[in-house]
Amino acid sequence: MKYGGYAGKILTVDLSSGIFGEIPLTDELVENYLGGRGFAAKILYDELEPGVAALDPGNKIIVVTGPATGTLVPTASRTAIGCKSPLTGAQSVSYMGGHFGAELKYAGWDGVLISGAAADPVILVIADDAVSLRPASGIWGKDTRQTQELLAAELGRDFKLGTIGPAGENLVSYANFMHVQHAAGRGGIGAVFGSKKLKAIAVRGTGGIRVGTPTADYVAGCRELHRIIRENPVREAFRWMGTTGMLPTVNEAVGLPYRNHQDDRAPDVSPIHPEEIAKYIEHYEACGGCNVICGSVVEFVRNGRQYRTERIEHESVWALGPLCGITDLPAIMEAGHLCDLLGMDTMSAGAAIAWAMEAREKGLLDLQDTDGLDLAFGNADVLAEALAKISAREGFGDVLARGSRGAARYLGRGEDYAMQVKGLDIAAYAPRAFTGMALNYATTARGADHNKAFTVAAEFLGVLGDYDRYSTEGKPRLVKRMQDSTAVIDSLIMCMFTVDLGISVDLYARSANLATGLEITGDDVYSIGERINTIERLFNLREGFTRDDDRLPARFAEEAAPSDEGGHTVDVGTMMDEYYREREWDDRGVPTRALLDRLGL
Amino acid sequence: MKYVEFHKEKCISCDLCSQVCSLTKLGRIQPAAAAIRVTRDPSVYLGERECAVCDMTHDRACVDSCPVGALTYDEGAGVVRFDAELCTECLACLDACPNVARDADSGRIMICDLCAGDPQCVQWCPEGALTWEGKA
Repeated sequence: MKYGGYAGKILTVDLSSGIFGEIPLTDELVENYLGGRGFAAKILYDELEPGVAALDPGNKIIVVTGPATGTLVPTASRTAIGCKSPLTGAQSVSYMGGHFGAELKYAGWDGVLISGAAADPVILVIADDAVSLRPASGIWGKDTRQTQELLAAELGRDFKLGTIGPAGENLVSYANFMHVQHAAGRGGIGAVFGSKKLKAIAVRGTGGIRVGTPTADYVAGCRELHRIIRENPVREAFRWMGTTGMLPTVNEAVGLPYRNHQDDRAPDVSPIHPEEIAKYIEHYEACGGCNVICGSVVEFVRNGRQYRTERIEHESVWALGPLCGITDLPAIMEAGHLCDLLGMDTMSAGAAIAWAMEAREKGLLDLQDTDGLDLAFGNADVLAEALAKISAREGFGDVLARGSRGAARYLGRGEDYAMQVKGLDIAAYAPRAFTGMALNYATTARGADHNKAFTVAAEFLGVLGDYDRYSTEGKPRLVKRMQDSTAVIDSLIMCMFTVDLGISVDLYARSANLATGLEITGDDVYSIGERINTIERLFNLREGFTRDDDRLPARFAEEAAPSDEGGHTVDVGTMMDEYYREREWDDRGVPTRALLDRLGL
Repeated sequence: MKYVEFHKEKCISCDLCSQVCSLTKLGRIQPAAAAIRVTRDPSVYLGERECAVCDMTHDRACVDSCPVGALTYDEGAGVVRFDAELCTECLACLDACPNVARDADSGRIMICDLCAGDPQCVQWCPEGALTWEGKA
């Protein structure tokens, strides 16, 4: 491996046979896919048998880092975890912050490729070169916090830990993987871990990473990147408001989905205002290598119960709050905390509950159908009980554990109210208010993910341009370009927040070059990102996805949000031909031969 | 006596201190071998942190523990020096003081040397959790 920043090899773990191995990284893989999401996309495409069921032992999990992970480059602490998703059937990669990925690299591994399934629950323990599978009998069934406390007591304080909770064990289709308070949340990775009977991964690394730039130049280069972030005025807002800072503004702009997207504005979000949330802060927390510091520990009480947990994030406070017609902050924070303990995605959990609330409102479900759960919009008290039932797959919880679309299909009714794309539920930025987000939701490989092209930055915040957020003009190109640059951020792996903190595409290229010794330009960032998005598309096409899957629920084209005086709707179909042309995909959404040749695919 | 002071209430666990320390001293990023390391007990949810760095104020247990004089106290600089030529890798210093680390690759014993009067960890700490001569 001539490039710096990498450990140089990926650990392979076959749970069926208990056999370990390693795959060396090649220069070609690095030059074409960089790391993180790029490696995951390439490996999943190459390694998975077409049509394999997500919960079959034949599915594989790739846990992977990037060249900047753990190397002083700001925010480069993230870990990517990919597999075929049980929620969507598409390929899906989720990310978590914290200290797990850096530790994996210090242990000498860029990633871990997990195949097969264990007969009995196990944990994977990686201590540098010493890799072992141990029985998980004592922790199977424990929540994510209990599991990590027990493992820490057993293994010692130097190990970094990640685990699934009961939701993953019970194959909830949006179960996640938790590292302390950080979640690789979306797409149901936790269920794939559960299907493999892999409860947790513990990693300790004592080795070092060599970077591709001489030390003095490297330190100076990273110092400059840190300075740009530190001096950006947005940084202070991230710090004290976390990700929740935009919630009131977006709501005021009629861009915050409310009551399962029936409206795009909640009447009053003052109870969940970021200043209200900030009142509970006990101390601040950062991920490794980060000087943004958007995390904090909060302490609060609800119904006499004392909680100490992570400050709730924007998407979580929204999905478990306004999306369900709820603004009772302690109830929302309690629900978010329960999702973390049970190990499931707050967003899809909230969306499944909101779906049921609308189905109930529309007369498609009654109290008997929902097993006594009073799933009415605005009922904050139902959240905790519903989440516990979902995780345990008990009664109506077993229906909601399938996700909003899965629940509708299982019952044979209400699919119009499942607000998702490809099965992944839409995020907290209303498609009708931000047409770029709408197109991004429709076309991103993993489904309606807000983080794969956060066009709100260009359509609303004025950070990356000044687009009319309702117009579709120029959006196909904007979405394509942002999807491509984001793929590189996800491959380094840096935090998405750096986009809003002054890190430009040229600076992502510089970050990559500092760590690796590559000499890529801003243009190369776009072409690497294009390759990653294209191979993700090829994976999904192979699984049977078509142009028909690149669409939003009909509601957004048919009904305007009642609070929107402009009466805007969005039909992503009108942007699709142009988007495909920008991508050099044909009118069925299939990459053209010329594109594949140019990208070397 | 001067040393890098740790203010645990300000630390946010970014690990930049141990990353930059190991990089500038060893030429690679290797927090486990850095002369400063922040840890916390993961059996308590996001609980208090501890910092392992030479505080220059103790009885110099590392020097006393070394049977061959590979660790000596430099009165002028006010830091402990390591002589790899003399070290027999008995590792007694690691047992003597929890602030001592070792780079397994080179065998070098890692003890804070204050970066010749400009500690990099203090420079890089984004929260002022590390101070030097009273300054963040």
